[in-house]
Amino acid sequence: MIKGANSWTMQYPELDTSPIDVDYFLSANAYEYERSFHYKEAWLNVGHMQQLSRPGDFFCAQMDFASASIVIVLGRDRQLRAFHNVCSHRGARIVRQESGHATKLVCPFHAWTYGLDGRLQHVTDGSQFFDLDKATLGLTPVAVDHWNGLIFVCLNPQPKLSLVEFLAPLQPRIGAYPPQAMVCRAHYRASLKANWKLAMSAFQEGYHVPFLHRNSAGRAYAGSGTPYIHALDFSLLGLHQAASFPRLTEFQPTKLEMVAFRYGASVTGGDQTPHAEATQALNPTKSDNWSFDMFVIFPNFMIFAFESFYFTYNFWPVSVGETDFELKIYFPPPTNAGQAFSQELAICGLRDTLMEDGPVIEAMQQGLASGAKPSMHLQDQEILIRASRRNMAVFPDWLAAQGAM
Amino acid sequence: MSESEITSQLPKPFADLEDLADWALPTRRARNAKRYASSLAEVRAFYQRMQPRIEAILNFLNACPDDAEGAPEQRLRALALCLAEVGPVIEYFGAVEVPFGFKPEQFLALRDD
Repeated sequence: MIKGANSWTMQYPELDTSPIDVDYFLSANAYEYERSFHYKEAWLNVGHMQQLSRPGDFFCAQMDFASASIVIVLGRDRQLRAFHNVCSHRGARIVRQESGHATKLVCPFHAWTYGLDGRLQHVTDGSQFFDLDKATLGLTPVAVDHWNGLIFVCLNPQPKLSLVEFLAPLQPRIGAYPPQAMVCRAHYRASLKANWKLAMSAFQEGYHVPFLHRNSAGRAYAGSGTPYIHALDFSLLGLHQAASFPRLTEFQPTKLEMVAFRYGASVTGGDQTPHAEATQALNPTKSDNWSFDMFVIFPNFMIFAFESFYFTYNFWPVSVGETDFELKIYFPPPTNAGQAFSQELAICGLRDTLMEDGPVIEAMQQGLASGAKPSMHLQDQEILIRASRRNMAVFPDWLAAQGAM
Repeated sequence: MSESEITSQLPKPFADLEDLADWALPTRRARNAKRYASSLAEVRAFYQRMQPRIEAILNFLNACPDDAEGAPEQRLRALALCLAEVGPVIEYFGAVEVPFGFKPEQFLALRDD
C-alpha cells in the first residue's frame, strides 16, 4: 500500500483516499446542476484564433447542454465577438454552417440581417411591423475572450471572473503554451454514450495506457522493464490540473515510426527539438525522459502538450449519459513531404489509439448504470479524477470566494 | 500524351508502384474509406510494397521544389499519406478495424486534409 510521503493524493487531505460513489457519474440531478451552474459560470473553450484569420470569419459552437448554438465572429474592427445564433424575430437559427466567412449575418427564415457586430441592420418588409425598435433587437451577445490563442466563451452574460482570472492558477505552470506556430491539422468528433465526467476520467490517468493501448501508443510509455506509467508530476492548480509524463527510454519504434520521427514528432516519439519560448514552462521536473505535459482546464477541456506538437480534447455534455468528444491535433505547418507523412502517421496513430477508448468508456457507463458496483476505487496515479470530483463540488464556493476577493 | 496517361503516372523512379494507383487518394476521408473497404491481405500487400520505398519517396518529394510538383508528384505524395493511414493496421493491430474499438463512422473526420 502506498504511504503518505510517496503519495500524490495524500498531499491533499481534502481529497481523501476512499472509494468514490458511482452516482457521481450517473446522477440526473447532478447533471442538471452541472449544466445549469458549472457550464454557465465557467469559461468554455470553443476554438482557436486561427479559425478567425480575417474579419468576417466565423464558426459555431453547438452546446446541447444549454440548448445553445453560439456563433463566434471576427468583426471588421478585428474585435472578437460571440452571439447566440438566434434571430430576434422568432428565434430561428441564423448561421447554419459550422464555419465560414460573411460580411453580414442573414437569417434564412425571413432574411433579417445583422452586422458582424450583432446589430440588426435590416428587417425585410419592415413597414408591416408594429413598434419595432431595431436598436434594441441586435443579436444576444455572449461573453468571449482569448488566451494563448485559444477562444473561450462564458454563457453567463456577466461572468463572475474574467477569462484571465479564471485561468490564473494555471498560468505559471503552462506559460505561453501552446505555441502560435502550430496549426490545427486534424479535427475529429465522436458521440459517446457516456456521462461527460466518465468520458473525461478515462483520459485523466496514464494507468490504463500500458494495457488498453498496449498495441498502439502505450508501447512508447511502458514495457517489460517499466510495466506501469508513473507521472513525473501532478499539480492541482485551483480548479485546473497538470500532469507530466515520462516516455519509455528503451522503446522500439515501428518501421514507419522510425522514418516519421526523422521529420517530426508523435505521441510515440520523434523530434523533441525545443520549439520556442512557448514551451519553456513544460517538463517541470526537467526530466531527461520527459514525453508530455497534460493540462486539464476546468471543466471540460484538456491539452496534451508536447515539445513540438499538441492536441486537445473537448467534452461536450449532451445529456446525463451522452457526450460529444472533440479531438484537435496541432502541428507546425508541414513544409515538405517528409513532415506531411510524419504528421499523418502521428494523426492516424493517435486517432486509432483513441478509438480503443471509445467502447471501453461506453461499456463502463453501462456497467455503472447496471448498479453492479456502488463505488469505484482510484489509485494514486488516478488523483486527477478524484480532484475533478472535488472541483465540481467546490466550484460554487470557489467562484463566490474569488468574486469576493 | 492524353490526360488519362498523365494522371496514371507516378514519377519515373517509382514506376514500379504504378499498380498501386487505387491507393493514391488525395484526402484523409478517402484514404480512410479505402482502408476500411480493403481486406487485411490487401492492406498488407500495399504496406509490403510501400514500406521499403517510403524513405526514397520522401527524399524524392522533399528534393522536388513545390512549383515543380505536378500530378505525378502529387499522386506519389498521396500514396505516401495512404501508407500513414494503414500504418496502424499492420504495425499496431494486425487488423483493418481497431480491435474492440470504435467503428470508423463513430470517429468522424471534420477536416479533410
